[in-house]
Amino acid sequence: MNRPLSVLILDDEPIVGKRLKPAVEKVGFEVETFEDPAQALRRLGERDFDIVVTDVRMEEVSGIQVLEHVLSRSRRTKVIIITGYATVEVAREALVKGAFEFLAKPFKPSDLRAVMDRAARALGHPGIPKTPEE
Amino acid sequence: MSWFRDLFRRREEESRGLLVRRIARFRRVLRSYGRFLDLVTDAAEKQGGDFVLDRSYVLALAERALDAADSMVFDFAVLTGDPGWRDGERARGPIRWERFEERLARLREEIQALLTGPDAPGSPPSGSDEEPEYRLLRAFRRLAFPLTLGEAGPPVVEAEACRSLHDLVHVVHERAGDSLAGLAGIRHQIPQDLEVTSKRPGADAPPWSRDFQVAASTRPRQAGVFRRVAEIVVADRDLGSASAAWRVAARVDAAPGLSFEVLDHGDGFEGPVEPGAVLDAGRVRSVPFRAFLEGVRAGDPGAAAGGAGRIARAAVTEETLHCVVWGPDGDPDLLDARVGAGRASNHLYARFAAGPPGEGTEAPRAAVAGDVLSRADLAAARTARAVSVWVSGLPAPDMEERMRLIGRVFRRMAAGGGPAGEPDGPVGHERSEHE
Repeated sequence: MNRPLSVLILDDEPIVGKRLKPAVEKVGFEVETFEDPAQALRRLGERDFDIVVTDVRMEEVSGIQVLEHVLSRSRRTKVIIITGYATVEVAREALVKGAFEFLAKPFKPSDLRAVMDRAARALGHPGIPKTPEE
Repeated sequence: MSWFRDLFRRREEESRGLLVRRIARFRRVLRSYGRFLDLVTDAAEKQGGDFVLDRSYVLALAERALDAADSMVFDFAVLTGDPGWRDGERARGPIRWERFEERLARLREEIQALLTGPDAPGSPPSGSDEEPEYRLLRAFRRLAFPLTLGEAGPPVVEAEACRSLHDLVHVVHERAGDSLAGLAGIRHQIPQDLEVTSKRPGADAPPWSRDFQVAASTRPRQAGVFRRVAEIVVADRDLGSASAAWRVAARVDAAPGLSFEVLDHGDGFEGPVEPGAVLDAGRVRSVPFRAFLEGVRAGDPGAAAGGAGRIARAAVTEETLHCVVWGPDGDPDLLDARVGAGRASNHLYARFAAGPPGEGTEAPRAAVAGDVLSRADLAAARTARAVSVWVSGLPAPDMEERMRLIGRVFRRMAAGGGPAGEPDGPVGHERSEHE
């Protein structure tokens, strides 16, 4: 039996973690959410996660820095970038630096689940079962 | 005398150039208006609660909505070039576009107060289950997005009466259409006794400095004002020669009682076209115009076109159509479309004058246009003055299908417009000027 995938969600807007946590836990993943990038980086120093979801624009640390930090520790971790300020430049930079996917806010939790499903399969996990509404 | 002919030819060429520039400017107004309507739709969808959105979404939404409104007011100013004076008398207060700018500035302040304030006014109490981001979105939408210019309102709305951003952009887009439709008839005169004030001491006076100073004296000083005013004045100075453009138009008899004066700005017809020529609809190459004419002629394909009736005006290229038919009380029916291979730039905008009220609560013309077009997947807005419809981003075949439908509605309007096709049609430009 596969172990549940671990997911870290980082966004300085509380509503994002609040909304995403139950939606992702619902599909059987273990989720930790953070609003403070410094705390998230400390936690990332303690353990590796399978999937990291991070906002780009935050006060102290950018999502691109988080991406670089994560991949310097664990190349297998899939990093999904989310942002409310989607531009071609940011998307290109994120993908060039190794992000698994780039998602523009606002999005539906089902949009993120679809990306996570692909990330899970890329990690050798069977993926997320489809819900009736999907 | 060749110099005399050359003079007229040059004037006609200049006029055509001006017309093309003004149509292009009008399309910018429409593009911004479409952008704004897309934001209204998008925000309503997001409000449904199924999305992960944060405060930055609401801030970006407000920024984009204000940006669209700002662009519209600016393009409207360039389009009209109206310094606020007509026939030697001041036209109801400060210049029109400046009043829109002032209103926009006040709406901007209200929106900024909402977005930066601790509580969103009018929103549910903070103890409710709704998340603060959704409450903020709801409050912003309530402030900026309702169209309050209902069918029972006055036909002509002033800037001050615009209670929301949506009201403002709607009125601006309507006025921009009016301006373009009435291009040939617009006159501007600056009274000789007007006191002008220089806002830029020591600056070299350009040739049009008098107009420049008139405009600048009523305009808040801010970055970019001189560039803006300069452009407006150039448009204004050219305005007098605009009607000359139509002297070289060809004529297409579309249906009994409905003919079009058509200016071809590039590949709108098959083969060369002589000024004043009467052309068969089969010569039309312009994709949107051809589809539109098919709709116009669909009612009675066997009937002889032409004959005494109404003249409409159209400017075409292979992929574009801009057309005006004068409706009741001088209000124009208006159509602007682009139909080409590039789906993203395709659009269709039509506006039908509401006409005089019927016995019921709604004008018969408005009822016809609204009923027919609401069945064609077109976004529609109704006010006391007009019904306007809009669609964009469809593939060419779908756009052509809608152009045919619009053609049928235009034909019906031109023939009288009421649900039963009342015989008393709107007052239009009589064909006698061409006969």
